[in-house]
Amino acid sequence: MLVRKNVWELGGDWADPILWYARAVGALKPKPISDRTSWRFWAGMHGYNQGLWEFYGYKAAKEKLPAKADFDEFWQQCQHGSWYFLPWHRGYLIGFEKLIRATVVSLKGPADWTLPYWNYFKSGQNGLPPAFGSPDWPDGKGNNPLFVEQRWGPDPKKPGKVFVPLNAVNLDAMGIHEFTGVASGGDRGFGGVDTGFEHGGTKHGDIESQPHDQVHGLVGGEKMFPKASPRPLPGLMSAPDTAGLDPIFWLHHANIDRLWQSWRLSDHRNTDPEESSWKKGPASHGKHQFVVPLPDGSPWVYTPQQMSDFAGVGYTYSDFSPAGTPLAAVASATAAPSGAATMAKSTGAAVEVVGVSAKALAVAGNGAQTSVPVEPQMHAKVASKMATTAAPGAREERVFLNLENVRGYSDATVLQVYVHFAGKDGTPSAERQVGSIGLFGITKATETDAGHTGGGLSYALNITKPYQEFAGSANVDLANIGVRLEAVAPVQQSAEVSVGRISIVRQGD
Amino acid sequence: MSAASASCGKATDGSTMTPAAYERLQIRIPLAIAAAAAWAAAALSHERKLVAFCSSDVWTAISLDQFALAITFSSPASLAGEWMLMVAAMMMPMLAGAVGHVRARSLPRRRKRSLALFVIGYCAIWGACGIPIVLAMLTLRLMQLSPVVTIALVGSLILIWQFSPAKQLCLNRCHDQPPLAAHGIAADLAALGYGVTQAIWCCGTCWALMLVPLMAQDGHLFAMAATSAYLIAERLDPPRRPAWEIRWPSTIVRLLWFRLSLWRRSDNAGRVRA
Repeated sequence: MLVRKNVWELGGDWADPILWYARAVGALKPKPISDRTSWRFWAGMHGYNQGLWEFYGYKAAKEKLPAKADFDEFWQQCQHGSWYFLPWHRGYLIGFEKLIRATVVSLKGPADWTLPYWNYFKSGQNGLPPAFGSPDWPDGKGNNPLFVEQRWGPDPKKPGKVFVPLNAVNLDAMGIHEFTGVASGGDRGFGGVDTGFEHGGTKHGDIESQPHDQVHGLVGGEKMFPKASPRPLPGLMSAPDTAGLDPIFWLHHANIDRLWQSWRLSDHRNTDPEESSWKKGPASHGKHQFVVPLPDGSPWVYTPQQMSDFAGVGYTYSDFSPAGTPLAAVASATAAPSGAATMAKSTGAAVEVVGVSAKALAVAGNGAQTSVPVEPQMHAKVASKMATTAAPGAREERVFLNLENVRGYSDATVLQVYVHFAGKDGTPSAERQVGSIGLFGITKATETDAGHTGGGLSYALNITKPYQEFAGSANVDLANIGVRLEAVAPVQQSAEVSVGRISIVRQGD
Repeated sequence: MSAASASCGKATDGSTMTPAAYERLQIRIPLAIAAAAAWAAAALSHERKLVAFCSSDVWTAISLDQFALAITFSSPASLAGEWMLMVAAMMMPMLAGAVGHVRARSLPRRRKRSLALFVIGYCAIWGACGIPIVLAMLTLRLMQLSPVVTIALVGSLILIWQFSPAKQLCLNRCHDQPPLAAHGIAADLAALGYGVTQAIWCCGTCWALMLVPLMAQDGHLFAMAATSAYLIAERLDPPRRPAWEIRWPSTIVRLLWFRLSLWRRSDNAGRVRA
């Protein structure tokens, strides 16, 4: 069994697996873009944007793209905002790992090479692995293929200092027990919403929303190129159309893939969908099947059902603990099920709007804030349900903050989200952080001429805990709940980032 | 921990429907019932004055005198009623996304009101859209062109529109789910406005193909059903960049092919077992 290991624990900055990875990437990068085994062909399978690829020097203006048949079959397949997010990326990683391993072997390297993962949650490991941050090989010579210039990191004042600010990411998704959820504003589930025939790709599932999206934007960052565009341009990792060009992309996704299996191991309730439309993939909806080329160039078609069978995928991870703490602590949740929560399955029948902001909110500079008027009757309903214990078999009352129709042109932006309860009669106000949102993919979701509707992305953040904390309090103003968005890096005015609507919804029986 | 222990378990409640599918069903069932009622009404109606006006029944040209005589026996209201029945039967199955959006984004106490306003806005535009469509068809008949020329003219018009970027733009916008205000008059205007804009994009998407059932008198219901099926199939395709290009509903073709291959496989498997 092949074992994917922690990149920070391989035994040195340039441990053998990293060195071989660099050599293989170096061998694949010069290959023609139309070659199914080239570095750029694999990046194009995730996404492609002619302007950015050419501006960053990843494609010459006159260079020919893959032939139409190859382009249509393999390119621009990445699944986001869908319950296919995890299985598509797992197959993509498997195919990529096979290609790198075959290349490593052709360079006289080990036949058991595996893709390392980057667990930015583990103590002291949120920095970019050093081999990726150096323009030089370990012998001091330049042209390290793992180094990417367009990887600017979270702080525009220190471009190139790449790390994942731990206050902007979390593992809350690991506590969700349903793989798939609702599209109407409640929980979307660990793996994402069953997108059915109306696949818009605008509502990311829980593990995709956090930490996947944030890490993309925080690592890639963005930069102003005044001569090229009035808007900031994304680092390679920050946008779906360029992310696959960055060698660190694959280590990030190996970690997301690891978290999927970690989620399944941590609780007996955490299972993949049983629905045939998930297991057979989008092909069962008449959509594109999942397909990647093997090292010999032949196509390999795979399904979510195959990807769900972890025992059969041919690899495992050296450690399944989400943040580096022993998984055994989490595994205690696998004890015999009891009570309502075990069998609760949200159907969406009881997703109801509690309050809605009056108008769109523009986000620029360090952030923005607004307030959401709450319907007194709806608040009373929520407060009453929260005050009583859910009956056996009933679903627990949950409250979500929805940031809807988020539009703009800054894929790297990450916004910390706070809810604010104003104090009454001299009582101090209280504010609670309820997570963050990463705008990965927002440019594509905003444009109207590239096969998207331009409605932007939507986010659902669980605010049950702070809501419950204040629901019965007479000392805070519950008629209006404040919402504050704080940018990790300043949002450029020219990026035109805005939230179309902010709402609070309840989900329960 | 062994990888073998990672194999996933079965769903504990035996449910085969996802929460999102359940949500969609909640919208689709009432729409399907309403559409079925509209289809039944269209099938049982013996009037068909609208179609008689528009269709040639193989394109017999009419004179102004004949037209004047005919219009005296059919009130504009009955013609409009027939038109809206046709619209209801054909369009309702395609409204699940928009109706679901209005329902999900409205405060519970305002849901019915918002949905009603959405429908009013939607119907108002389709009603208005019917006037130029029917007038155009009548004009064609009054021009007393030969049936072949008329069919060629209408057919060309349909094909040009179907392959135009404008048609794709309309089709893309049918998937719009804009932010909707939730309180007071703003909420009413938002629901009404969403109905209006959805109908505008919907008319833009469908008007040309709607000429097909209007042209056919004898096979009117069949033409309606076939056109309706085609329009639904078109909507299944994801949005794409508007351009002049020959397009056909590829998703439905792939879907049918996928189902057929599954059926073939299970059929073969059955034979092996036997």
